[in-house]
Amino acid sequence: MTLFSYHPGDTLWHTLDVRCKCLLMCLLSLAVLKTGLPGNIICLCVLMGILKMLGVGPVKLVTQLKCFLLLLTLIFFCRWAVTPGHPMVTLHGFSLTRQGFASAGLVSLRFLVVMLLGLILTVTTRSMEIKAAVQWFFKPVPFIPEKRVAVMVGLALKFMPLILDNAREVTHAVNARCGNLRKNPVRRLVNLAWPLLKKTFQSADDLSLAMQARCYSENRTDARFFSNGKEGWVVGLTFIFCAGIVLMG
Amino acid sequence: MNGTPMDVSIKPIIYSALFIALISIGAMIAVPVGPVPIVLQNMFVLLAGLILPPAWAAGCVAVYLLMGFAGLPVFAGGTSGIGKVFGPTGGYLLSYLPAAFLTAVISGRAAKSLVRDCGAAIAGMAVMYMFGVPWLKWVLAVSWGKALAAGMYPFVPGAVLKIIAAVIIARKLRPLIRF
Amino acid sequence: MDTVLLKTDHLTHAFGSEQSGIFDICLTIARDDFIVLAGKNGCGKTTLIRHFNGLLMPDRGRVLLDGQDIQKNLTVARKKVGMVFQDPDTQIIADTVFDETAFGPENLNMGREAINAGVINALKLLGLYHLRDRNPATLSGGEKRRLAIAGILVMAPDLIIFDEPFANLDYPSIVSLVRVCRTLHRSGHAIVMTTHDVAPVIMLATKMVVMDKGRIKEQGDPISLAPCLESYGVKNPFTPMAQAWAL
Ligand SMILES: Nc1ncnc2c1ncn2[C@@H]1O[C@H](COP(=O)(O)OP(=O)(O)O)[C@@H](O)[C@H]1O
Ligand SMILES: [Mg+2]
Repeated sequence: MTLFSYHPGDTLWHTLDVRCKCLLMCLLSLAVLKTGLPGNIICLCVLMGILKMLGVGPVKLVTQLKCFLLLLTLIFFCRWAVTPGHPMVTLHGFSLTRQGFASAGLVSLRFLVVMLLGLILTVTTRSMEIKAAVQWFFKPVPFIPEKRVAVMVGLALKFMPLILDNAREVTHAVNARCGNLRKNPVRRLVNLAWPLLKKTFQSADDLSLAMQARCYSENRTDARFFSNGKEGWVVGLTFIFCAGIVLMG
Repeated sequence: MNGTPMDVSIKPIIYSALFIALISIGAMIAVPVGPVPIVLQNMFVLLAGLILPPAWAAGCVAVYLLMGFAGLPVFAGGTSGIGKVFGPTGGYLLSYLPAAFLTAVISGRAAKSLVRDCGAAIAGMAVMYMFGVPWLKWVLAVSWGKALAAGMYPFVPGAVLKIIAAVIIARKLRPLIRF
Repeated sequence: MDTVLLKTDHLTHAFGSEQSGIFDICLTIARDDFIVLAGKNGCGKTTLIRHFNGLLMPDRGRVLLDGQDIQKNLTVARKKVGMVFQDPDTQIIADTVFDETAFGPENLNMGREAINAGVINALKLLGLYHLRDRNPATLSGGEKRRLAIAGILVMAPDLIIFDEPFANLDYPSIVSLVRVCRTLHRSGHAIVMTTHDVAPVIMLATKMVVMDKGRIKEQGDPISLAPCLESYGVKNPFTPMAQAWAL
C-alpha cells in the first residue's frame, strides 16, 4: 500500500501535465503488448531507471511487491508447463519446453512492465489529479456525467482508509468476544461484514449531510491542470521509443 | 419528506462511491473463514447489485474498473492499469459489470422476496464465472479442464458462502438505506 | 442593517413517536450573538441546529434567515450558515487540505482565482497554510477541527454553528479552538455552539439556551443561568471538579 501512494517531488515526471501522463501510459502499455522479448527488456530497464530516479530502488521494489512477484512466478510456471514444443527439462515424465520458457517469460515480463508503468504514475501523481484527468477525458463522451464520476472517484478514495480502519476495529471487537470460535462460516462472515457495513453506511449518511451543508452541486468549478511546457518533447520521444521497440519486435 | 432537490442526487452518488471503495478493499483483505481464506471482492459486487438500482450498480462497477485502468491501485494486491484486463483475471474483472447489472435487475426495485434475492445473487455469481473461466483459458492457453480446475472448482464453496452471506447482509442493510 | 440574523418560529420536528425530536422552538439569533446551546445527550440539540441550514425540514414552523424562509433558497442558506459537524472524520471530503477547503466555493461555481485567494486566506487565518498539501486523514484532531472551520470560512458565512466541538479533543486543542472561536466572533460572525460541557466557552458567550426533552427550558445571560444547569443534566462550570465528583 505504501509504495502505491504519492511521493512528493519536483522531477520532470511530477510536473508533467497529468493528461499527458495518462496518454503516455496508454501508449506505452500498448507498445509493450505489441513488442517481443528484447523490447520488453529494454522497457523494463528504462522504467527501473526512472523509478530509481524517483527514489524507488530495486530492493524496495522487490520487498514491497513480494505478493505480485509470487503471482508472476506462478503465471510463469503455469504457462511454461502447458506450452508444447521441444523438451528442455523433464521431471517425472512431465516436460518443460523451450518454447514454453520463451512465451512464459514474455507474458510475465509484460505484466511486470505494465505494473511498473502504473507504479510510476501513482508515485508521481496525486490521486485528485488523476481524478481531474478522468473528468477531462470524459468531457467529450456523451451520456457520461463526468463531474459525477469525478466526485464518485474522489469519495471512493476517501472511503477506503475509513473502511480499513473500521474493519480493523470490528475484527478486534468480534475477536475480543471470541467470535472467531464460531464454527459456521456463514455466521462468521456475516458477523464480520455486517457491523462493518452498518458503521460504514452510517458514516456515508453523515458525509452526505456534510456535503449538503456545503452546497454540493454538480455544476462545479472545473479542476485546473499544471504543465511544465515539456509535454511536446516527452510525447515525441516516447513515440520514437515506442516505434523503436515495436519495430524491433 | 425532506424533499430538497439535492437529496435526490447525492445519496446514490455516495452509496456508489462506498461500494467502489468496498469492492477495492475486498480485493486487498482476505478473511480467514474455513480452511482457505477468501477475498470479499465479488461478494461486494453482488451486494452492490442487491442494494443499488441497476443503473447505479453498473455505474459504480464501471467507475471502479475505470479507476483501475487509469492507474489507481484498486485491483487485487494494489495493482492497476489497462494491462490487467489482458491478464488471467481480466475476465473476472470485466464480468463484474454485467454481474452487478443482472443482479440488480433480477432483485428488482419494490417487493424484495428472499427467493428473488437468492436467484439474483446466484445469477450474478454465475455470470462472473461464465466470463472469467473462458478468459483464463484463452490467456493461459490451457485446456477447459485445467481452466476449470484453476479458475472455478477451488472457489465454489467460497462462492456459495458469499452468495448466502450477501443475501443475508443485503436484507439486513436495506432498512438502513434511504435514497 | 437589521440586527436579527436568524429566527425560528414555533419549530417542531418529531421523530416517529411524540417522545423524541424538537417541539415549539422559538429562538432569535442576532448578528453579534455567541449562543451556547446546552443540554444533555439526546435532548435535541443536533436536531435543532440541522434546521438552521435546511438539512432537516420542520414538521411545523419556519426558519427565517434575514427575514426570508430558508426553504426559498437553500443554497443561499447553506452558504450563509456554516456548520462544523460533531465527527471531524466524516465531514472531510477531498484528499488534500487545500482541496478540502476549496470544496465549498467550487460547489458555488466561483472562479478559480477567487477560490485560490479565499482558500489561502482562510488557511492562513487558521494556521493551516503550511499543511496545505497534506492528506486530511493524517491531521491531528485539533487540526481536523480547524480544517472544517476553514472549509466553511471560505464561503464567508454570517453564522457559524459548532456541534459539540470539544468532543474527543485534548486540553491544548480545546484552548486553541476556543481562541479561534473568539477571533471569529470578534471579526463579526454570529456563533451557535452546542455542548454538554459549557465551561470552555461560558465567558465568551453572550447568551445561553438550555434545552431538555426537545424544548427550550431557559434562555438568557450565561453566568446567571449557570446555577440552574445541573437540574437539566449539564454540569455547572463554577462547581469545582472535586466537589462535583464527591459522592
Ligand atoms: N434520524 C432520526 N430518527 C429517529 N430519531 C432520531 C433521529 N435523529 C435523532 N433522533 C432522536 O432525537 C433525539 C434528539 O437527538 P439529537 O438531536 O441528536 O440530540 P443531541 O444532539 O442533543 O444529543 C434523540 O432521542 C434521538 O434518538
Ligand atoms: Mg448531538
